[in-house]
Amino acid sequence: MSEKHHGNPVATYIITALILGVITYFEFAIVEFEISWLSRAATLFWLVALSVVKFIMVVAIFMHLKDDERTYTGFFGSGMLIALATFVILPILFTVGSIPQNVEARAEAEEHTEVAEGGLAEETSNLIESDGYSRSADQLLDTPRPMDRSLVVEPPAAAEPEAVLSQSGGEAVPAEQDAEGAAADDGAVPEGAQAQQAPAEEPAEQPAQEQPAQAGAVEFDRELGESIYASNCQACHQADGSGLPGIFPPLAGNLPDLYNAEGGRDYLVDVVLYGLTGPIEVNGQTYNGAMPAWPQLSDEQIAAVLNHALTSWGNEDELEEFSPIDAGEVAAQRSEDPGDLNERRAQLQAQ
Amino acid sequence: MSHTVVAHTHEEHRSTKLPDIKLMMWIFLASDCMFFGSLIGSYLVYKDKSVVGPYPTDVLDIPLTTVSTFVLLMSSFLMVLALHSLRSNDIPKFRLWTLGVCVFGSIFLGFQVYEFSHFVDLGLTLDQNLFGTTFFVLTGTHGVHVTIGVLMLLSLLIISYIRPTSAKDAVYLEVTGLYWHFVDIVWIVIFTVIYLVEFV
Repeated sequence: MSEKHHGNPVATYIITALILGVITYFEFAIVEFEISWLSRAATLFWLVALSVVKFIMVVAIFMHLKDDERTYTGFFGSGMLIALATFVILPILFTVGSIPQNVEARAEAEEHTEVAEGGLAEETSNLIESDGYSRSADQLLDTPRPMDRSLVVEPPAAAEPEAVLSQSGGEAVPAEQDAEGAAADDGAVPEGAQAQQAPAEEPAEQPAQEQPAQAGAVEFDRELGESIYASNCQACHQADGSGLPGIFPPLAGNLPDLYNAEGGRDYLVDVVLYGLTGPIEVNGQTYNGAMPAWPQLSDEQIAAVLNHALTSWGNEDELEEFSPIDAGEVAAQRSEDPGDLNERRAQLQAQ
Repeated sequence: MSHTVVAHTHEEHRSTKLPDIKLMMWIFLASDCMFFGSLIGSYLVYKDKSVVGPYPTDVLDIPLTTVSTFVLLMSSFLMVLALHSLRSNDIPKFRLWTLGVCVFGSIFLGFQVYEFSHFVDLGLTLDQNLFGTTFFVLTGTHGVHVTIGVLMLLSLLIISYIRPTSAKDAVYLEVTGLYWHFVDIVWIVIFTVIYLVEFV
């Protein structure tokens, strides 16, 4: 094991310690004094570079790996390599998995704003684009599509004037403008012919699903709902809302039943606010777990996550009449005594 | 690695021509690399995913942590001095530097205890949010490593008073030193990845 000491090792140690101290000070200074001519990327680069230098100095000089047997370097190096791989791959795995959903969510959000602005042609082409996208993402990842179903909830563009008329007679004018805009755009855009077919096909594929009642109603912060769901609910209820049989109850196919019953809306808010323990029955299966209470989530966050769950995984097709839960309702439920939630649940299920 | 010789002292070498204890420590450190690699990886995966505060920028204190980082680096410096003294059979200096490492390590732990309790006062607990969970598990695991290192060094220090210690026992201090330096380099990474980068 005898290592060869070149010159005076103590001098080397002192110099190394000094350099380590100076580097640490530089790292501190870069961050603390916000050097203006150093861009964010450059700052990050220097921070990583400096810590790598420190790392190598300690390993090579203090741990004597520089002058020691190569076997040690081999063992330590392979461990470091696996650690680095973990370090790099783990975040990538998590990011890559969520990209398609994010893209879909963004497309969805854009679609909504455009519907609100009343661009018929844009909406039509969006229908084609986002539908095509979610299908290819589906094939790639074989994941449930939480997003594309909401296209169904969306009123088909062609039916919009009627829906608007039936809801509030006076406001038919924007819809007419839509039609005009569409005609103009159709002429200009080469894909116009294809785009026109889409609204004709859509209603045929999804016949009469309470669409007039839901016209333009599904307007809420879906991105917020998704992120709250991913970080708080998904671990138990799963990404596709299916839960784990016998352990965590499903949300898909279960929420609409509760929502459609009288008082179901408030009940769902209360379950998130106050949690739920004790045996419950869902689709003939008994669950006896504990849903935690989430009072730390804000009213907006609870409303968004409930709206997200209610309009995902096919739930949106089973809702009889849906308008997004808003933060005010959550605030109201928060200030009220929820009573016995298990009893309320039994009453809802009896309906 | 596969030898069946049972009775031996640390001076006997295997076919690897290397002292078992030192080789074992390096292999352990390699595995510890993976351990911390996955902990830091988890921290990065959940970075910026906390839905409720306190968020990293609300609680992390760069000047304070820079001081504790410096203390830990200097403890590594004292560690190599202790090993050098023992190899030169300079027992009083070996004891002095080893005690110095223990003191510096304890100061670092003191900083960490202060930091943790301060964070809890600010509302950041293990189950408050994803930041709290990943931060406390990562830095807590590191703190446990430092504690074990201090205990190992204290043991060597006490043993040096119980039975004669000389340069031929240096391998034990060397191996403990390897562990100590490793804990130091893990902190170098943590300091950059968790503390500094947050404020860029």
